Amino acid sequence: MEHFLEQVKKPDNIPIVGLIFLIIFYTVWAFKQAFANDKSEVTREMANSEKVQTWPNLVKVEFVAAIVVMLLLTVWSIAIDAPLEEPANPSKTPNPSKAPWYFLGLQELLVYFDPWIAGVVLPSIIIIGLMAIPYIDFNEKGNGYYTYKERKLAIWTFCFGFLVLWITLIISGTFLRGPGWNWFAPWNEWDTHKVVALTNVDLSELFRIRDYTTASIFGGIVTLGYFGIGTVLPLKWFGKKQPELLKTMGMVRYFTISSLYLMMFGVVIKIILRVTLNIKYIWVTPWFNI
Amino acid sequence: MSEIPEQKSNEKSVGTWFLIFSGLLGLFTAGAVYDETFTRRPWKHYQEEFKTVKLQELDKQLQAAKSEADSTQIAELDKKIQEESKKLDAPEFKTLGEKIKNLNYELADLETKSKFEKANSDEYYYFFKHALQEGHDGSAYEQKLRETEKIIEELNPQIQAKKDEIAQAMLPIDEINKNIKALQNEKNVLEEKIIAIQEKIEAASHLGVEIKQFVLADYTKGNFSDYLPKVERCQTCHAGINDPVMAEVTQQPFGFHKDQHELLKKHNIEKLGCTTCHAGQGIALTEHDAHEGDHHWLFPMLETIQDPYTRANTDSTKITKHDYTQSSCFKCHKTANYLPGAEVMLTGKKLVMDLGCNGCHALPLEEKLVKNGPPLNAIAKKTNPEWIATWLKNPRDFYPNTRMPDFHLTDEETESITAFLMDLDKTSDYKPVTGFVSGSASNGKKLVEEIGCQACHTVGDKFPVSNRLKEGNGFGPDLNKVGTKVNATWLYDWLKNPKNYHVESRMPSLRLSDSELQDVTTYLLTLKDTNYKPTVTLSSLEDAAKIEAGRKNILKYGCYGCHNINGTENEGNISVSLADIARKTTEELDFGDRLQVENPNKIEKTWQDWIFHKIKEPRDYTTERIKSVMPSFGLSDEEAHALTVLMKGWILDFQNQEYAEHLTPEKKGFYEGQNFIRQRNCVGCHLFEGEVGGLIYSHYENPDEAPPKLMGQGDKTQEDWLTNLLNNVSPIRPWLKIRMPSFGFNNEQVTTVHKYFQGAVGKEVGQTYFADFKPNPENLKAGEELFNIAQCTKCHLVNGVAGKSLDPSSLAPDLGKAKTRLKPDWIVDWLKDPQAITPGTKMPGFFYYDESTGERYPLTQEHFEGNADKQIIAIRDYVVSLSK
Repeated sequence: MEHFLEQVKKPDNIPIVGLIFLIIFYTVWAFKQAFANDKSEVTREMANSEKVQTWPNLVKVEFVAAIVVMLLLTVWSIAIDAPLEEPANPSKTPNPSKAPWYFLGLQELLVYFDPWIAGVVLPSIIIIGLMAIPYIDFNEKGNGYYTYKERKLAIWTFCFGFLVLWITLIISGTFLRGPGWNWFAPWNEWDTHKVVALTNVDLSELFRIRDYTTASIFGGIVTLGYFGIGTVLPLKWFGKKQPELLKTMGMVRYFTISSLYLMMFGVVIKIILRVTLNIKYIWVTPWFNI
Repeated sequence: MSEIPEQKSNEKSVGTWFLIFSGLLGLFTAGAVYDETFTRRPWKHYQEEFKTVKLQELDKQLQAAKSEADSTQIAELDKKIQEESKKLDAPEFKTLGEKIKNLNYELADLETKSKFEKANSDEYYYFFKHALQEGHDGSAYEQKLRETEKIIEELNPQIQAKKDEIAQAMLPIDEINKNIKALQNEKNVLEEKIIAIQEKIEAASHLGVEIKQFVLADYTKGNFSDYLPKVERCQTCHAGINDPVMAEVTQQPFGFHKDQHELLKKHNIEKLGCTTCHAGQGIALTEHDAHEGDHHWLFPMLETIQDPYTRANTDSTKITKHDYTQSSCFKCHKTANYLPGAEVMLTGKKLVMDLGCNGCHALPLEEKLVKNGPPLNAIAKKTNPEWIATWLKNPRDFYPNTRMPDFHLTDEETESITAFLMDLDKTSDYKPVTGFVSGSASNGKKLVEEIGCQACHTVGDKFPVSNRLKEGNGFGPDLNKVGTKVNATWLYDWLKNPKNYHVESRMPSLRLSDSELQDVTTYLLTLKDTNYKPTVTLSSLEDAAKIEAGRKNILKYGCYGCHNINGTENEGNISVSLADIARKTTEELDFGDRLQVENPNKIEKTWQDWIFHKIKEPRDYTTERIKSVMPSFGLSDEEAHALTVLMKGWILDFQNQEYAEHLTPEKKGFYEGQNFIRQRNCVGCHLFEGEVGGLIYSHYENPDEAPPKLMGQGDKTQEDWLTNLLNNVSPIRPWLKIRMPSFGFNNEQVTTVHKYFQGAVGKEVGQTYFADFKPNPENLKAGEELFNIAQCTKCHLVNGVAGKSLDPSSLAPDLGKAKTRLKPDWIVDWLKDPQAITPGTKMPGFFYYDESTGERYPLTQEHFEGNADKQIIAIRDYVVSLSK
């Protein structure tokens, strides 16, 4: 517990502690607003038709908010010193070596994926995916106010992709990952010499496939099969149940959305496979391993 | 129908909030300024306090100086000065003053006029030359130039006349001022101290509050061979550390550097700084950060380090608090063997060298270290398997003070190693000489006690050996149980010629005759351990599997680190390098189970605790999984502490060698030699520079029977003679019973001895003396007469011929050897004052030196008109000419 509290109290981690409370507060607050709006029979689009001037209505509040923020920063900087460490020594790296807090989610992925996937492919896809949102989001409802009813899918995607994956990984990376990047429960001591039984095998080995080429082909079938089935089955379902929606969406949009979703869930599936079945790689090839 | 949720109106005034938050922001900004200026700058407070303390101290000194000074004389001088000044107030001087004032005005007018003309002249000169250069007509300018020059020429004598007039008028005033100045000077001489202190007070009262920072720009190098500046601000708070004014101040942190003024003279703070010796975070400005640092700072101040020994010895009689500071000495004085103030560290270094740590570990020592134990190839001929097994099982059971460590071997391991060692004899070509027959044990005992065996070995219980350092009679093995250990043939051969068994043996030959050898061997074989009982039962030592197991165990435990064993020549160090041990963090050290709460031997998780206990109980970090093979040396807390202190200084940082001790070739040779005379136990018999050695002297009631003191030997004897002596010992002092052994040094070793003796007196090796010695006959004749007057032959032999000597113990060295043995200058110094060279010598001083007059009394008035120096040289020349 001592080491966990030390981490919580560390000046470095004040933003993360703040983040936990702010995230909870804003999520609850947003949902509350959204449900209240959803209950109302008058849509917000109608209610917001009356507008007010930015100056002074908004600016004066922003001005006071700016003062409050400055006040907070001043008090913070007096009360707590910058956590400077000794001069860096390239021959002696700190243990644990942690990325900046906003990258801890990515660093966590390094446990489950090869560096080029966790460090290059996944971040690129995340950024591209975020940039694509305006183009793949064809829902015109629910703009400019809190609502759940009108944007269920978008909200759940956000809750899963951002709150569960990104934020949780940051928090666990900050407080629960200790020396050797081992996972420590809050009540555990951060022991440098902690030994964790970590023996992982490739998925193919679970199926007793010993030959490398066969294993490669097998992994390819599994991975591509996941993407194939994950794309085709919903497509069929949409075609049967909601042909209108599919039409509005268009095939390009559908494939983009489905591959992004499949990748997001794929990451989680790999994590679960690693944790439960000690799977090292699903697909082994001479060029890359997934 | 439900209502639309109420929207907050933005028309509300936010003025109140604005007022509150702006007020708070202003308040906290002011708070931040205060915090920055005072709360976070405790050193400002210290510096203000330092100023007060320093001024008080200076005031005290000023009062003391004033009371010391001759006040009546000063008052008298003051009175005289006043009288002289009063003269200037007389009316005639007033009118004179008025006159001089007017003259000065007139002079000023003339000079101004001259200045203007000079300026004009320069201008015209420029235009004139410029015109010539450009080819214009410059005659107008030339004319003007000549006019101004003429005016200036006219003005010059006028100015000079005015100056003379003023000087003339000033004469009477100058006279009085001169008197006053002379009186003032007289007063200043009397008040010299007071004025000096007043100047210091003046300087101190202007002390400002500032960070005193200084930078050692090139002390260390970084990982890329770039110089890393080392920044220190220690003296911001410790402002009086290098200030002699604060010598009496004990109040911290202002006091003068404690107890170590001598050290500071040699270690200039301005050059070396503070953290070079004390470590700590020099850049920090608060006490905690600077001294202990936070957990990221690897090198807290060495004074804050505590190991189990320092924790147990906190009483004021042992100042263990500063022990760790000594570890810093090692960084610059790597090869030094004697450093005042670094005794603990140097004890550690001696232990490292004597215990043979180099057998298993790479060490950062620059000394040449050899294998610590005897070769084992022919051990089967030296002793018996039962003894080997008993010894291996626990060496300290047999010899409590042995340096052979305990490997905690199992019976099985012991038996296998014994089998291997017995089998090893097949690889050895050692053949002991035959011819041993029993002699007289009583005569052997007498010889052992007389010839000096006890300088290196413990024999009998008269002179017990008590520590693990190779010093005095603890240098060689304890001989009190040797009869249980060795075979008669081997012992006879060993005493006859140790090099036969062990080429590099440090055991010398004592030139014993065969019958003496038989007597000594017989006596030593009677020294048996009455309690000896073999502890391991041995069976079938010829079993090949057992021998092979023994070989593996030898490799496992690294026995070859200390012993020569055939077949292990290519093995490397069995254990880790200790060169950078001080940099290890606790995470890199395996504490085994010794951090467990329930463990009765639980230790603290610090570097020094780990090292201390590793040295004391090497196997205690062993767990089910990780076995350690380091043997235990049975060290005391004090010894373990000394080793820990030494190892705290073992850091590989790229220290700029400019900062290390500067070693001249002479000094380097001296250090090398110092080591050598210790490694060969010369210090067991002889006393060397710095009161080192002479350990056997306590065995003698009559100091004349003890081996000679060798201080200043480099000045005394010639190198060629010493080389000859070491190669072929012949007694110089025939009355001594103790024998100078024949060490059988090779050329390199003899040179090392020379380097020591010459280095000790700051000279280089390699001169010849008396090569072209041609004394003039007058000197020889006078010398002979003086020689007879002084009755030199009463004590000295001359070419083996004794004069009328008193008794054998009062004999003195043979003067026939002087030419080849002694140095010319030394003989002169010796004759002048023997006591100054060898205190307590029986050689009388014939030429008394009167310190009050600075004169030396001659032996006679007849020779050289009573010139003592010439007489001494005459005696020297005669003595040298005696050699055949």
